[in-house]
Amino acid sequence: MHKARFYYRIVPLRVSLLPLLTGILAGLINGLLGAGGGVIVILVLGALVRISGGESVPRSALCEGYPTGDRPGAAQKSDIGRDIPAASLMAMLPVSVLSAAQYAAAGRLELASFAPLLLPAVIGGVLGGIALDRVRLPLLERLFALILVISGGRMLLG
Amino acid sequence: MVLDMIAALIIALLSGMGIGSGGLLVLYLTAIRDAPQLHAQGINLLFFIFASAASLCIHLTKRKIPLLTVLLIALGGLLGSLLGARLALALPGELVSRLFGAFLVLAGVMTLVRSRRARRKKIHSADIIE
Repeated sequence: MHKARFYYRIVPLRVSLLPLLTGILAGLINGLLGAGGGVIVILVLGALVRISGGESVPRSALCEGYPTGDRPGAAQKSDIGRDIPAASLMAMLPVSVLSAAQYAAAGRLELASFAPLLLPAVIGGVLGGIALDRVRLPLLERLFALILVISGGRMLLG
Repeated sequence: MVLDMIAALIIALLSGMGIGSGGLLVLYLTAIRDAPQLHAQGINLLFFIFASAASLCIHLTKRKIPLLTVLLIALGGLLGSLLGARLALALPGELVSRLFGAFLVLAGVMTLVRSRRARRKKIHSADIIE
């Protein structure tokens, strides 16, 4: 953690450029298609973790706060495969608010047809939060890939 | 109505796990409910806001989230959204939607292949250890 903070102080621009660019691309997709920005975030963060040494020792500055392996107590099991989707959700939440606000300002947001979905959204969201903590990682990964193929296939075929 | 609620619950669960943002609700609304594309996108945005906020209440207590990175991504995201939403409201996004669909399929297949390879490697190394 100390290392990562130090890194940010020395080369803040270089380190911050990749998340910023990732965000811009994800935000563009989110505003344009109303979905799918989070996928970009998950793919980029996942690739970074793999490049920087895999699950156990993520050395990338993007994983600040993770045990780096060279400090006492750093041996605790990393759960980065679950942390990445959670981080993606957190990053996309404000972005979705802005996108939705722009749709609303243009009069393209139909609140009435959303109303019945409000309760399922909140309950499902909480259940998903609990499920992410319990699901086996290979299953999570396969589910993610399957959803990508299904929604992507539908979009591709129009 | 009941179908809607059940579908919404399942989609929200996947959204809460962070893996449902590939536009499943957009898919459901346009394919099964015959909603216009932009209408479905707006509803999906609202839906995601509530589902992700609810799930984050859990995630924040259990997950380790790299906050600075998330902040930077969100900042970039806000900029991107300004352009993206404007584009969506101004022009038909069919080409973009198809291109992004192709990208999603590719990413999904690559993830599957990598996952399978990793599993095979793990089994293999377990054999060696035994």
